[in-house]
Formats: sequence, C-alpha cells, structure tokens
Amino acid sequence: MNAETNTNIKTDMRTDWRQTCSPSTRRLIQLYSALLHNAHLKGFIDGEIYQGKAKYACVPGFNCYSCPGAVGACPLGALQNALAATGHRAGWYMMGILLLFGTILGRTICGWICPLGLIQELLHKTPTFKIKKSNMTRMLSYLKYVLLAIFVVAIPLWYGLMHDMPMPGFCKFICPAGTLEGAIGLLSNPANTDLYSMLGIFFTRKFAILIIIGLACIFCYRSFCRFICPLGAIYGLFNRFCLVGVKVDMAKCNGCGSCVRHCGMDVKHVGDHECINCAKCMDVCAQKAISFKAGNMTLKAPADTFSEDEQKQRDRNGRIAWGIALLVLCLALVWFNFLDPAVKKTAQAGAGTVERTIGSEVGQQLADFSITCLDGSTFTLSENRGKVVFINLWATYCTPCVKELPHFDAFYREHMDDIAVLAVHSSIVTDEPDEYLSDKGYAITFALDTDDDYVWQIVNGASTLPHTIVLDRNGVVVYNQKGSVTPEILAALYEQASAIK
Amino acid sequence: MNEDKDKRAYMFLIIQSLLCFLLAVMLIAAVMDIYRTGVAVQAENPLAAIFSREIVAEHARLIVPLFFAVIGSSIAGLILGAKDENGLGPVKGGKVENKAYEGNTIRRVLLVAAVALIIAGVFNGSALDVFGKAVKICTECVGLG
Repeated sequence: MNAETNTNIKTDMRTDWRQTCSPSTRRLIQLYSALLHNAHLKGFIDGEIYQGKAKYACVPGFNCYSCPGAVGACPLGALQNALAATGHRAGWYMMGILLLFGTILGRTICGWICPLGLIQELLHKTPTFKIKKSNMTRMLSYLKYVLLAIFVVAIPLWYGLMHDMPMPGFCKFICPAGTLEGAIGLLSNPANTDLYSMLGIFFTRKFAILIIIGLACIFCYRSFCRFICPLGAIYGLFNRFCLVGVKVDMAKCNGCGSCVRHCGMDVKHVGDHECINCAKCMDVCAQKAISFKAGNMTLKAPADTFSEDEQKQRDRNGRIAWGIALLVLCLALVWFNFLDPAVKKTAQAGAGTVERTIGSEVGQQLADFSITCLDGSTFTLSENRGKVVFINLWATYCTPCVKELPHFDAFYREHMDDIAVLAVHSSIVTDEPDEYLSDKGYAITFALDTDDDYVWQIVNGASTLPHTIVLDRNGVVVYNQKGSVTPEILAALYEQASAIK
Repeated sequence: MNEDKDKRAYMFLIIQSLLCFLLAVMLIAAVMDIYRTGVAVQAENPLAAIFSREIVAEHARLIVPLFFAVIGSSIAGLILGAKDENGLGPVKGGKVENKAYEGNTIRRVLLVAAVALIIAGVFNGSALDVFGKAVKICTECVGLG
C-alpha cells in the first residue's frame, strides 16, 4: 500500500515538474531574444558598456542601453531623448523606428521578444499566492498611458523646450530596467567600484521602485507590462493592424469568451491593445478559431489543423528556422565580443592603460596635453602649474553634466586667479557645443575632444558621464571620479588640492 | 491523499509569500538605511560617499541568506508542483465579441512612412542622438546618480 502511494506521489511530482518547467517554444524564443539583445557578454566580465556602431539601431524590446551586455539602444530611452531634443531637431528617426516595430510586430514584442517580459514571467513562476485579473487590474492597465503621457512625453518635452536640458523622465525616475540592467549590472562588477561613490537619492529611490515592481510581478502576472510599461502602451496602439500576431477566424468564433477568460492580460477581446500575442488562447479555444500569423502565413495553429504531410513540412521548416537563428546568434556573439572594431579599440585601450594613462589615478602626475578650445585658444596643462586644475568631461545630451556646469562657472568666477577649469565635451556631438553655450555666458574654458578621444584617454574617461578630475598645483591627481559634483564638493576638493604644497 | 497534498501546498504558498514580502521589505529597508546614514556622514564631509561596496556587503550579510532561501524554496516548490492555480486560471465572464483585424492598407502606409522617417532621421541627426546617448551614458538617467 505504502509502496503504491509513494509511487503515485513520485509520478505526480515528476508530472508537475515537467508541466511547470519544460520550456515552451515561446520561452525558448524569449531566452534567445534576451541573449541576442545582450550579446556583448564581454561587457559583463570587464564592466564596460558596448560602444560600437550597432547602437545606432534600437532593439525592439525593453533593454537598457547601459546594460554591459546591450548591443542596441533602448527604444524608450531613445524616444525620450529624441523628444528632449525637439527644440533642435525633430526626432524623425525614433518615430520611424517605433512605427516600424509597431507595424510589423505590435505587442508581439512584449510577448515573445522583450527581455523584461521574460524576467517578469520568470518572477511569476515563484510559487506564491497569485492575484487574479479583475476590474481593478483592468482599470490599472490604463495607468501606463498616463505614465507615457507624463514621464515619456511631457517631462522630456518641457525640459527640452523650456530649459534646453535633456530630461528622460521615465529613465530617471521609474525605469526598473535601467536600475537592474544598467545600475546594478555595472555596480556588480568589481571593475566599477568607483561608481559606488556617485550613488545617492536617485539610486535609493529607483532601487525601492525596482523591488516593489519585482514583488508585484511575483504576485501578479506581468505587473510592469500591464500597468506601467510605456513601451507596451505605444506598441499596443499598433496591435490591431500589426503584421505578426494572433488572428481570429470569425467564421469559426462563436464568441464563447474562453480566450479572454483564460488570458493573463487585461484583454477585452483577442488582439486588442492589451493583448501581447502570446497565443496561449489557442490552447483553450474549442472552436480552433485562433491562430498565430504573420500576414497570410500561419506560424502557429491549433492541433490537427494541418495534414500529416503538411505538419512534417512545417516541422522541417521549423528546424531550419532554428538552425538559422542559432547561426545568427553565434555570429552575433563572435562579432560583438571579438571582431567589432569598437570592442577591439576598448581592448587595445585597456592593454595600453598601464603605460598611457599612468598618472590618471589619485596621487599620480597627469600626462601633459594641449587642446584647442572652442574660442580658438589653446589649453596646455603644464602652463597651468601653480593653479588647482579642474577638468570636467561633459556632453550637451547629459542632464547632470549641463546641470553642474553653472557650479563650475560660479566656482571659477570666485577663484579665478587660483584655479583653471577645462570642460571637455565628448567627441560624440549631437548639438554643436559652441552653439549650445552661446547664450550661457560661462567664463570657464570649453574644448571639444578629438575624434580619437585624446583628452578622454589621458584622464581615463569612460562611457559614463559626467566625470571630474582635479589636479593640485603640481599637476598631481587628487580626485578622479564619475558622477555629479555640487558646490560643496567643489569647495572641499579645492581645499584638499590647495592644502598640498 | 490529495487533501493532505493540498494542505501542504497551501502552507508552502503561505510561507513562500511571506518570505518574498520579507525579502522585499529587508531590501528596501537596507537601501534606505544606507542612504540615511550616508547622508548624515556626507553633511559633515561633502567628499564622503553615501554608498560603498563595504557598506553594501555589510547589509547584504543579512539579506543574502534570505535571498537564497527564497530561491531554494522556489525551486523546491516548482519540483513539488506547489502553485496557486488561480493566478492564471480562468476568470468569470460572458460572451466576447472578437474582431477580425486586417488593415493591410494602413499597414502598408505606415511601413512606408516608417522607412521615410528613419531615412529623414539619419539625415537630420536624430540617429546620432540615439547613438550618443547609448554609448556615453548619463549616470543620473540609469539611476546611478
């Protein structure tokens, strides 16, 4: 009797285990996509983000471009920056990209491609009590449109047009992908220990938001996707006419509503703006009226839709498609980790660090350099011996950079005879720095770094902005940190550098 | 037999839910504590950092065991098949009026417009905006500070 019972329990357990854990085709595609979105695996080892030309392109899913593995730009972050730059140029590129992704895939991106969608679904696998969808969750699903309007559109537009300052509201105040993939992704690498010094209220707030969203995802299916994600809100607008997605054969549908009742999302009917085209409803449709299509081509259909021969042919095509996809993944991994010129450049710079950037660390003499300033003069470091020198790395498209420039200017005006301030703009220029500075009236010296990042390399500048370096009167580095500075920090640094004779 | 199993699963879900809540509360409390202490130190010395690897490691000592306990029990729960079937189970509801969306013409127009906008964006410099932000990241924007 006992032996029989034990056998039953084990069988049940094995069945449950298989049912719960065997990956579906959709899960495999999600994993594949997450790996392809973050193919720069080398970045997780050396703690540096990918800086190659592939970042001109946006990835379709929600994936922060500051993740060490990211090989493309995040469409939501890029959209906010495009809106923030409206005063200078229209963000046609981002509008085109979103239109393209939306029209072809719509919210199929959320269900099949988005790495954050995968993370949410895995969190929901945690065996806890779950919250069912209800009228309340249906109502909450409209919150994402409010967040889209305020944080993605209004805040960047307002700051861009009224203050000439890039302010990606969603990235800065909410985005859990930025905190998880960008901030924690970078901080978890021992090579980025210096980044800890810049953590403050932004990190504290966003970390708390990340935890709350994570917890919500454990108890409530795809909470972020359903209630918060502005990118999903945008793609949802295209869901009705996107090329790839679940389609209903109206001749077969009897309107029983089984599809909607079994759906984890807050849909009113199949394929509406909340539908992520996961195609799970196919399994519960007794009428076999639902299929997953790309135009006229059926990608997934209910069982017994095709004849045996047709099914064999489809299986063969599926294997070929997976083969091609794996080949593409292998090529991407090789390219983004070994062959890309940007990766090679970083590796060479790293190899040369010991010799070339020696002197950029605290206590070392910084190598002398000369650079042509925006006003046509030349700044030579050695000519400023006897003064405390502040070198600031900045860019017009970096919010904290442009916010701290007035601090440097005020401090310079206060100690004009005793200090030198050089603000070096990144070699990547989106708005002409001299044009940007024309009406600001700053007294500090500005320069634009050369295409080969001449100053950037001397001071060991990285891919994060802003960055400040302070030298004492002998040209020895007393401070070399990424992150914003305040007037109090500038005063303390000046005091520290002045104390060294 | 099944009742016993259901009871065990029910108890397991209660414990697991509480563990998840506890972990979240501890994580938020830890980050708030580090921030509060750090700000007090920074008020006296503006150059002092609020967060450091050492302080984070010190707080993590309490949290990491709980984190692994949650992971471990989640794996155990998955193997034992303990789950709340109601989570993604069917809800109440009546008839649904599904629609056959087509929109081939709209799709074609939008695709042409998308390609035109992307080309215009490459020439007006908005593609460079995307690249610039993606390779030289603003620390505030990703929640670093």
